[in-house]
Amino acid sequence: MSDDPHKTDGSPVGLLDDETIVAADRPWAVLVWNDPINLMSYVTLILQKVFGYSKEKATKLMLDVHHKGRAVVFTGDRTESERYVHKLHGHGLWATMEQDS
Amino acid sequence: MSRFVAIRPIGDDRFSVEMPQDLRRFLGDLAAELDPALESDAPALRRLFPTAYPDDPERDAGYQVLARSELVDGHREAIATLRATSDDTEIAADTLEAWMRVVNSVRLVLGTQLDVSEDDDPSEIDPDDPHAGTREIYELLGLILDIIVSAMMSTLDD
Repeated sequence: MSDDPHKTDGSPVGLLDDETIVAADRPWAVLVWNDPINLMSYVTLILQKVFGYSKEKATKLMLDVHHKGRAVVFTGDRTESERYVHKLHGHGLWATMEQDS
Repeated sequence: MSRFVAIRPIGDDRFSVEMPQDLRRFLGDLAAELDPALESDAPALRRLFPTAYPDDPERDAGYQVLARSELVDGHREAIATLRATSDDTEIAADTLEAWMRVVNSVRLVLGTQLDVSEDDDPSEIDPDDPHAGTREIYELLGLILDIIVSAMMSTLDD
């Protein structure tokens, strides 16, 4: 959080450039996209079952998906995110993942 | 539909299922039809095997190699469970989940075939529509799915 643009962030120098190190650390986001087929009640239930979310939280996320076209339903490392995407695909939800930028 | 179909939790992770015999047979037949289709490249199946990494085709190809066969195996298992239990009047929660998975999968395939949109009004099925029959099945599966979802939700904590 330095104001000095030339000040380094203390990353190891030489092996990897700063950008690579930062990219590897950036978390992944699991997104669920709106689709005209899946029932709203079904999407809520799957979010409760897959993530263990409360009904209130799952409903809020489902409504975000419905009204905004998509919602981030989970963030974490790549392996964990991919496991969740796979589970959501098993239940027929339109899920993707992307690295936070 | 809710007058003819009722699914209720009866404790011990089990559910009672009231459903007319012809509807049970119909669900079993739909499940049997889905099974061989899973191996095909039919475009209507695309919703069963979505893209995980839309921004990275190479990484997605890697995901698909593993995920697709696991997803097919999962669907097959659910289909086999539904076909083996479609006459049962009491089923375990895992079994109901298999029913739910099959009903939803068939619905996804039919909805993709029908190119369903957010604005479609299910109460307006045009009898002259060449897809009217498919549309009726699609709506019927939506009603059954909603009954299954309500039953499952009633067993979860708020």
